[in-house]
Amino acid sequence: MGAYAKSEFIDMVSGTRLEWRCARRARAIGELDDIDGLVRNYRAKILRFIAFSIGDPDLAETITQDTLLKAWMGRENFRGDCSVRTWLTRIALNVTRDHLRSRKFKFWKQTRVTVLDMEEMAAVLPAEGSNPERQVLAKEKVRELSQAVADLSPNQRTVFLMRFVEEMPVNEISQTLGMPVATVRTHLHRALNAVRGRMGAKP
Amino acid sequence: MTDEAMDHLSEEALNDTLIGMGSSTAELHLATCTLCRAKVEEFQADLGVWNSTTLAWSQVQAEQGERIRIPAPHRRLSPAAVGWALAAVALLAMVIPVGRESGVFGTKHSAVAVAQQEDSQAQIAQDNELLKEVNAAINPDEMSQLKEYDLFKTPPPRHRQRPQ
Repeated sequence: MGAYAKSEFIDMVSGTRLEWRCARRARAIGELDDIDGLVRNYRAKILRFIAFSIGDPDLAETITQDTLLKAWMGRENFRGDCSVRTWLTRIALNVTRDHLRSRKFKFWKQTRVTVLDMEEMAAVLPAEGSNPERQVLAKEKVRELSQAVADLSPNQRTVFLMRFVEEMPVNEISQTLGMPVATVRTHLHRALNAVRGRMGAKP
Repeated sequence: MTDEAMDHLSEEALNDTLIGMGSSTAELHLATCTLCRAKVEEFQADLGVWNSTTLAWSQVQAEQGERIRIPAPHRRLSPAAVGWALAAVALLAMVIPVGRESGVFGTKHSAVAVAQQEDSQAQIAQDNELLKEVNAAINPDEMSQLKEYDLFKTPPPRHRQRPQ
């Protein structure tokens, strides 16, 4: 860094970051403009995230639609400081929170019970290899892991899904949830202990 | 050094590795310890199967779900525009009755005015006739019969001098 003064170097780095962010924003807005592409690429992922977050696939479908519409209608607000997937996850979390707060949800929660069907989920296991024994074992694992995730506390479940399903880094989870990194880490540790314990991990 | 003889990663260190916050010491250990590496790989394999299965499930659900409908775009008026519109309506509501009363818009007296206009047409014709007669009376070039035969001794009222 000898050729540059420290301030010059910082300006260069921040300028590059700004350019990179602007380019990402422009690319993302192009992606967000296409509602069909948005639905095609992200609907299933958001649906899975929400379905496992709240455990109600019907409501998850409604929240997924709301999330995608909200994202599409507010695409000009995307700042480019994260990936489109992370941005959609943030919106999905907010929409879920709004739904859970609403009286409408409380009413439906009392009148109907639609829960994730673990058997149904295990039944759609992608056929990788033709070994029936492995298939049975894999189905059992899927059933166990699904149940383990469903049994986590809401906070533990959210951070677990964000880290291991949405593949968000811990610092991004911290920013998204407005939660200190240490707290996110603690939730993840507890979630992992519960899930790995359920899966029969030997200490 | 065999796996049995070496110190293994604690559960905390393993969890840190799984969440992507593993220390360099833990990474070094994993590179040499098959037992700890197996634990990490076992969890990652289970998670991989679970992720692919749940994604396949949600894809089926999404395909079965109804098509997302985009609501028709509607322009939302800004509060300022709404304020201006209301102010304009209020102003019109005040001005129209006043204008009607005062006849500014010609609504109250328009029929009268038209009637007056019609009357004045007839009046003009009458006046014209009168003026012709007066003109004939006062024009010296056209000698009236009254003057010609000296039948009209007194001057016409127009030329009559006022008493001092």
